[in-house]
Formats: sequence, C-alpha cells, structure tokens
Amino acid sequence: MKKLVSGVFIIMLAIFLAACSSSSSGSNKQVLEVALWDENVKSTVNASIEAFKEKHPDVEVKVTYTPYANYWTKLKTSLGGGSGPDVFWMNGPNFYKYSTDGLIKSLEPFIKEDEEFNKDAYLPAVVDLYSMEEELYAAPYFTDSVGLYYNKQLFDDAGIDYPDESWTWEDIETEGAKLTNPDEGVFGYAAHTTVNQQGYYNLIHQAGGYVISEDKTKSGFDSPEAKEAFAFLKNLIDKGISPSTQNQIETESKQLFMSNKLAMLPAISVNTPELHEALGDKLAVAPLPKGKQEASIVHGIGWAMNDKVENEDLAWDLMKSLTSEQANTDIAESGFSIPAMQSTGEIWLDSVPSLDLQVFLNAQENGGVAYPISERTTEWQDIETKEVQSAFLEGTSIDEALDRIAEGMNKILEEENSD
Amino acid sequence: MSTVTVSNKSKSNTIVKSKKKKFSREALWAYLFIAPTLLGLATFYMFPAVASFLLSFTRWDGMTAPTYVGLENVITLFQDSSFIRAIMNTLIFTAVSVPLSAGFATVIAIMLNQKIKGMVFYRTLYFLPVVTMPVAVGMVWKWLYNTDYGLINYVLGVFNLPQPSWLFDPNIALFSVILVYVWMTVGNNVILILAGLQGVSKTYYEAAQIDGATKVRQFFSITLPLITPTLFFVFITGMISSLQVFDLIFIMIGDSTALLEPLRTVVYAVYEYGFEYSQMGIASAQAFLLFIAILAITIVQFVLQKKWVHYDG
Amino acid sequence: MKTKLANHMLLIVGAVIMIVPFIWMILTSLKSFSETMQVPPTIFPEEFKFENYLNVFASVDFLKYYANTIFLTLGRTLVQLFLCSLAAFAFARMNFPGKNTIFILILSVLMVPMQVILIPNYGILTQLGWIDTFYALIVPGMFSAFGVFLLRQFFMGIPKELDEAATMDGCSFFGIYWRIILPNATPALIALGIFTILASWNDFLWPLIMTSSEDMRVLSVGIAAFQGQYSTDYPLLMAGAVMSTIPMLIMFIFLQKHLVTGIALQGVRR
Repeated sequence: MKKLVSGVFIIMLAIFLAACSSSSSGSNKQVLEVALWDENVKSTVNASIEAFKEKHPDVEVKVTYTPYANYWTKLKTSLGGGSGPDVFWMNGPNFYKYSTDGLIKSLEPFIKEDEEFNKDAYLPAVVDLYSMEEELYAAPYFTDSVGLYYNKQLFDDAGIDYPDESWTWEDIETEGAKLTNPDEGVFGYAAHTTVNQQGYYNLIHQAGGYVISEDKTKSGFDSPEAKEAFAFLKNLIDKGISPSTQNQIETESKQLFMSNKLAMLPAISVNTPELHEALGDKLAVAPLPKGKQEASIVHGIGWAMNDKVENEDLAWDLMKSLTSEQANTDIAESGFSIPAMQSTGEIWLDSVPSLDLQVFLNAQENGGVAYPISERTTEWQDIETKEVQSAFLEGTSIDEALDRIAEGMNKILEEENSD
Repeated sequence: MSTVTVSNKSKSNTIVKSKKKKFSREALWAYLFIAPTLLGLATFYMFPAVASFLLSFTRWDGMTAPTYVGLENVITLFQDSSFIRAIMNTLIFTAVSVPLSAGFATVIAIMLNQKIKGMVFYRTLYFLPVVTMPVAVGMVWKWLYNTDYGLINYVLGVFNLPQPSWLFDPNIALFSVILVYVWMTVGNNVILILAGLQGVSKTYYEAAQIDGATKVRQFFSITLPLITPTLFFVFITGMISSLQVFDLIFIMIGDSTALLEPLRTVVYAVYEYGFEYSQMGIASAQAFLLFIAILAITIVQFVLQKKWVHYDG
Repeated sequence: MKTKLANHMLLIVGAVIMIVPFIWMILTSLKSFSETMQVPPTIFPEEFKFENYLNVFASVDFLKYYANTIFLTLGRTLVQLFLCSLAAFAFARMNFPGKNTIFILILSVLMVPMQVILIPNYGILTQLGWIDTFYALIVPGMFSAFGVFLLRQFFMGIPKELDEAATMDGCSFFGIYWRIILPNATPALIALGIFTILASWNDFLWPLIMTSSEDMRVLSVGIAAFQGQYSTDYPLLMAGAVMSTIPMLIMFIFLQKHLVTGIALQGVRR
C-alpha cells in the first residue's frame, strides 16, 4: 500500500510538472481576452471572431463564459487583481459604476476616427443606456423589451377576446378577474412585485412617472404616479387576480404561466424560447396594456473595453467585428435576442414564426424607456426590492415604503454627485 | 513490566546528558516538518488576510486605488442595525447547529460502527447529503419548504396540522435553514467520529462487560471520554465553519430580499458589501471583526478543553 | 435479535431522510425542461428522458472536465495528506519553541472568510504568472490548516509508548512518523482523504475565478454553465450533477472500509 502511494505520488508530480510547463507556452502571439456570460451566443460570437481573425491572423482570441450568477464577482476579482479581460459584456445596472471609475474606456476617440462604426445605426435607447455625458462606453450588442405574453387556451376557455394594443390597465383588472379560477389554482395576471424590469418599472412610466430623473439626481418613487402604479398592483393581488408576493417569491410566476395556471405574464423578449418550448401554440404575445401612456423598459447588453487594455486598436477592431451588421444578422437569425442594429431587427421576427414578435420592436420605438441606472444602481435597487417586498409581504403601507425608497435612493444619489 | 522501567531510566539518563543539544535538534526537525505547510499557508492565506486587514481601514471598490479612512468602517458597522442583526443571526445559527449536528453524528456514528448486515449500504446513504451538489440541495429544500406546493406542508395538510411558511415566517426562517445545515453537515461529522471510534480499543469493552456494565454506562464511561479529542475537533471546526456559513444562506435567500433580515449572516454581509456594492473596505472590516470573534471563541475553547478532553487514552 | 431489528429500523428511518434529495436529483435529471417548471411539481418523470445525459456530453466537453477534476483532486489530496501529517506529527509529538503560537497561527487561517482573500490572492497568482494554469488550481490547495488540526488531534490519541520504544531503537523523527504514526492513523488519514477529495472535487469558486480557458475547466464550473441568466436548464444541470456525484460515491464505498479497519489493527489482540 505504501509503495503504491509513493509510486502514484511520484507519477503525479511528474505529470503535474509537465502539465504546468506545457500550459504556459511562451509564444509571442498577441492575445485578446473576451468575457461574457451566455453560452447561447457561442456560435454567433465565434463567427464574429473568425471574421476578425481573417484580418488579424496572428492574433489569438480567448473567450471565457462565466455563468451570470458569478460573472460580476469574477470580473471584479480579476480587475482588482490588476488584470482582467480586454473586451467584455456590460449590463445596465453595472455600467455607471465601471464608467465613472474609469475601468472601461470611452469609445468616442475610436468612433471619431472610424467611419465604419455608426452610432445612429443602433437602437437609441441602448445607445442612451451606455452613454455617459454624451460619450458611448459600450458598443450595443443586443436588446430586449417587455411584452404581455398570454395563454390562448385559458382565454378561449373563459370565452374572452385576446388582448391587443387597445388594452389598458382597466382591462387587466376586468378581464383578469374573469380569467381567475381559484378552484383550479388559475390566476389572471402576474402583478410582479419581486422583479422590476418586467414589472413595476413599466407601470411607473405608463402612469407618467419615472424611476430616476434624467440628470440622475432624484428618485421618482415618491411621486403620485409611482404610488398609482403600486396601488394598481396591490389591488390585483388583494382581489386574488394575481399570485401574492410570497407566492411569487416561492414559485416564479413564469413557472405558473408555463403550467397553464396563469393567463397573462408580462415578460422580457428573451424569455420567448423557453415559454414557447413549454406552451407551444398556446403561447401568444401582445403589447403591454397602456396606462396614461405606453411604456416598455428597454435594456440591452453592450461590449466594453478594459481601460488597461494592451493594444486598444486591436481590441477596437474586435469590438467592431462583434457588433458588425453581420454579427447582428447572426444574432437575429439565431433567435437569441433582438439585435441592437435596427436594420436587422426584421430578421429576428422570423425566429418564432407563430408569435407576433413585432410587438417588441414596436414597444422599443413607441414608448421604449431605457432601463434606469446610476453609479450605485445595485445599492438603491436593494433598498427598493427590500421595501417593496416587505410592504407587500407584511401588508404595511405601500406609500410609506415608497417614501422610504425615495429617501434612501436620494441619499445615495446625493453621495454619488458629491464624489 | 520491570524491563520497561529499566529502559525508561536509561533513556532519561541520555536525555539529561545531552539535553541542550537534543532539544535543538528536535526543534530543527520540527520546524522542517512544519515549514512547507506554514510557507504555503502564509503565501495563499495569511498574506492575503493581512492585506485584507489593512484594507479594512480604507474605502476601496475592489478595483481602483483605495483611500485611507481610519476606523470609519468599523464605526459605521457598529451603528448599522442590520449588521448587528447579522451578528445575532450568525451566533444563533452556530449555537443551535453545532451541538445538533455533533449530537446526531455521534449517535449515527455509533450505530454505523456495528457489525450488522448492509453496513456499507447504510454508511453510503448517510454520506449522500455530503456528496449531493449544493445547487441540488438548495433546490430540493426550497421545494420541500414551499408553502403552497411543498411536500412537507402537503403531508401536514393530510393530517390537518397547521402549515407554516417555513422560510417566510421571520420567527422560524432561520431555524428552517439550520435544519438543512445540520442535515448537510451531519455526514462529515459521522466520518470524523467513526474514525475517532477506531482508536477505542475493544479490550476496554471486554473488561467492562466482565464488570457487567450496561451499554449506556459503557457509552458514557468508555466511548465518550475516549472520543473527546475527536469531539473537540468536531466542535471547533464545526463552530469555525458555521460562523462563516455562506453558500447555503446564499442559495436559500436567492432573489428574495425579504428574506435578508431574518437570514443574513456576517459572511453574507461580507459578500454583499464586497461583491454587490463594491465596498471592499467595509467587507474587510466585517471579516476582520468576525475573525476576532472566532479567534476569541476558539482560544476559550482551547483553554476549556483541559476540563473535558482526554488525550492518550 | 430484537436490538438488531430496532437498529435496522432506526437506521432506515434516518436513511430515508438522507436520501430524498439525492433521489430527487436523479428524477429531475430524467425530466423534460418544461416538466421541471411544472407547478405543483411532479415527482416521477412523465417520460424518462435518458437523452439528457447524452445532451450533457453534446453541449460541454465533459470528459475533459473529468480529467481536469481528477488531476486537481489527486494533486491536492496526495500532497496535502503528506504535508499535513508531517506538520501534525510535529505538533502532536515534538517540542519546540513557539509551538502553541505557530499552531494558533495556522488555525487562524480557518477563520478568515474566503470572500475577502479572493482579490489579494488573484493578485498573488497574477504575480506568479499562474492564472489559468494547473498551478493555480492545485498548489494553493495543497496546504490545509484543517488537515493539520485534524491529524494532530488523532496523532495525540496514539499511545506514546509506541514511539518511545522506537526512539530507543534509534529511530529518527521521520522514522517514527513514517513507521509508527502513519500506519496507526489509517482511519484519520482516510477521513482527511475523503474530505480533501470531496472538497477538491466540488470546489467551485476558486477554479471559476482563477482559470478562464475551456482547457482548464473542472466539473463544478462546467455544470454551472447550465444556469443561465433568465432560466436554468435543470434537467441538464441535474444530469451533470449526478454524473459528477457518482465517482464520489464509488470513492466513498471503497474508502469507508479502511475508515473502520482500525479495529482489526488495534483491538483484536488479547
């Protein structure tokens, strides 16, 4: 036994030394590192990299996919440790933090000297999202918006007409009540109180309010419009048309919807493939019902460049390849999400032919609102979700909770602006 | 018998003769034995820990250059009621989970240390929670605890018993998670205690049987004292790791911020500040305060061990 | 006879509580994606989808992950067993100045949360040029304060007469360690071995942060890829988890025998 162990040990040591020395091969090839989280775009990204390599055959491109749950932890650790990827995915909530801290490069100097890249080709809401003081910091890659998914069978069973662009908040309540069937455990509508992008952010804007003022100095949570939006949600939950907040936390509304136990679900365009897989032809989509006005939150992902990048021109070339018209066409054809380049949006419509995906493109053009962000988005969003959830869970005053959110958020915004 | 005493005497003679020289040779060997481990731990654990200690006096987002703020972070933390609550949660968590896990493990280990049919099978089953991946563990327990669709409440409903919201009633949420933690860790402790039981020589029991001692008496007068070094280890390491509990809490909280207050532990707060809010300075200060607390409790345990731990049975 | 039956009954009740999540993991791995989203959840799959297992191999390079994980686990475990037992021997059996201080210093390593040493460690590994190599995966995991403490605790329980006799025979310190202590501490070494193998096998955060390329990926990181931003492919995730767990079960069934052989070594002689 002892001999065996020491034998194995020596062999291990030998393999180990061999493996370690081989992995750090000392070639002088230029290397660009790319980081993102969603493996579903792998083929699209690879195609763009191939296109880039045709121009730069001597450059090696290493792509790392990190699951979303750990993506930001890993990115922060590597940037904090003094390295990090050269080109990487950026999202709204984190964007301001990275741009104000100077961790990512402004793309304006490159855009000015490069006629091939045209900011106007991309969806304005996403260009806005990734701009700070009129300067673009992340090249838009793909976008999403919010629509009202519904289950045709549940509507047919209740003998109700399908929702269309004429629907308003009132229709949600009156028709939703008819669709609700407590004996079967069926709900009419999901009044999201645990998620904001597909939930109350849209409602606040539909009521004519805002989440954060344009100059990022003031919270809109204590406005009468925001209070109206939350009163609307509370009413739906109190009447049993929507699952309760606790139910929403314990069981995702999406799951109820996929199990034919929920008639209407406001959700993001990227949810389309999985909802379609579960419901098939029963699935349909309509625009979000209007309040005082139409509004749909638009978010999207962009490519950002590490401020400490070694060869910025190469990195820029790679970024251009990743956001080229060809790349956008690939994204659209794969059905992954709406491409950021508007001219290619039409191609995406065919990705699920049975659905009227035009709804999402229309939503972006009429009433598309950029996802609300500031430098410390994650911090005030934590206050926001905590206050909203506990007010609904404990049945305490929503208006007072909203006042507290505004107070906490204004304090954070004030600190941001004084820095 | 007599030969042993003689040789002992001659040995002590040699020690007296070359005491100084032998001592230093022994010390030299000892340092040599410890050196690799100490060096490795110093590089990858102690040095980073010292760095983090220094960072607790700064404001640092984890990425750009830190600025010195003195004791500001610590002062902020002591005024922060949610941090105080996190400390309380952590202490309750540890005080309940460690004895429960060690107690169950002792009973199970003694049962698994018998010669009965199917022992390999039983041992493997009891080991299952340890090997099951944390993601799967979190998912299944969330389902078991689900108020409306969970298995536990379904069974309670069949017997017309009250169906609590296991994770949403602030009074029981922490205890629901403690239960899962005990379930997860008991297998580890069983292994340790099983290994500890092997050091207990059978001759002790044979003597006890001749004396006519009952099984229960045998357990308390022979087994328990002899496995106290193992139990001491189980308590210390169990305490150190449960004071740092994170993974399970992280999975159980998920996206639900409403569960934060009743479930947040100190290391969860460390993660929140360090990686969600990018305030690594405060996170480091929290970790440092936790470190002091664990160190203090551990030293107390080491002092107290003389009262109940029996080495060299 | 009666007590034996009672024993079995008790053990079975406990076993049921222990096994439920594992069974559930296997059942989920055989369901379709839509079925895992059903409310209320189904217990048995409507249709057994064994192809989920094939799909795992189709979507990720699972064999490569296996190889990397085995390499990482063996490297860490063998070195750790040797280094920890050596240090533990010094703490349990030898006298030297600063013994208690150094021991507490080593123990203190256990008390620092991983979350705060992650960034400094990344910096160290960057300086060493180890990021994204097997060095990063294996070397820091070779040292364990837990292991030193565990083995010290067991070594202290080994009767002192044994090594005193060996000292008289002119045995060196290393000789005592190698010929007396190690053979008498098999259960403890096996226990530490099981823990280290398991911890290395399931280690997630460290490999995730310290390596990037596909070539360096280990099982736990590979499986996490099935958790998307908006939805998790539970059947594939669980199929991956089952395949990752089975080698650990085999390892345990094999090693648990040695975990309890100490009885034969010490107890039988009358």
